[in-house]
Amino acid sequence: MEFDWDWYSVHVEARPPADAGELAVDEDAADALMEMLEEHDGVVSAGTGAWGATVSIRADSAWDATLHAAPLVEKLASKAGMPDWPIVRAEAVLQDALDAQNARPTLPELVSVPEVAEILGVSPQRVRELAGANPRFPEAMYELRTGKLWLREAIDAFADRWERKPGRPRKQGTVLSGRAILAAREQHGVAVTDGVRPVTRQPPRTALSAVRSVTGR
Amino acid sequence: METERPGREILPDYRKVVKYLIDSEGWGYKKPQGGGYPRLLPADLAQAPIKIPKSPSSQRTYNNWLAEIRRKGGHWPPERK
Repeated sequence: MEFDWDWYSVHVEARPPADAGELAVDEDAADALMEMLEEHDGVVSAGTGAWGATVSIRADSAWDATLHAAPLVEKLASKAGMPDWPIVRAEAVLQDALDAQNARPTLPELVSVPEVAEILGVSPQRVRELAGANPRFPEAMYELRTGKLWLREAIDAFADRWERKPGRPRKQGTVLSGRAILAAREQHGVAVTDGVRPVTRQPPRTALSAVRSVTGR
Repeated sequence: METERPGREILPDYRKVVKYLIDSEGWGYKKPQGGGYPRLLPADLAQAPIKIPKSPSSQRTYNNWLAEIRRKGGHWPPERK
């Protein structure tokens, strides 16, 4: 029946009791364990305050793999002269799942302002505006002295959900220059507003005097 | 302190990963003493060094070794920079 079983990778970790202080593993013992575990595709890590071993084993389930591999590692560790520390972790994963996991990069893809601008199809200046004003724009992952860095996935998600409004955003409360107000008054003889609220700024005194001298008002 | 560099004492597949971790992620490498195994030293000094297989090994050994590196904060494959 064993040939129907799957391969599992089982990781076992041992640590000294909390009150045991700083204990180190003997290098020769760790080398001996590595050699003993070779036939089980084993890998050993050993340092101060911990040792671990990962082996491959055929089993009919993850539970079964853990139940067989952990005692095997414990037995061989003892034989190799490893410290008799309690096992604090034992975990199994289907070897195929581990292989697939190992093939995936773990470093997140990061993007800075120019890349974000390219993804969103806007200018770098617009990216900075969005980052400052749009509450749905992702928070930067890192803020370095040279600029912000975002997770590429977060920017892609924002790009998918972002409802763009065509045209330039309308500015509110524009203050017209005194010269423009005077020109408009001359042409139409009406009060000038910016369409949102009445303009309250007065034209410069010198310009007003010049208009009076021409119009006689 | 300058770390040692891996040579022919380890297999090419392993050497490639070790070189990347030394050059890009601040890990260290220690050649074997006597008949022992070479060791890969994580950048996080609180993590235990990982032994590196010397002789031709299975794909399962290689993947168990990569899993151990990732468990201790290393990254491989390094496509994303």
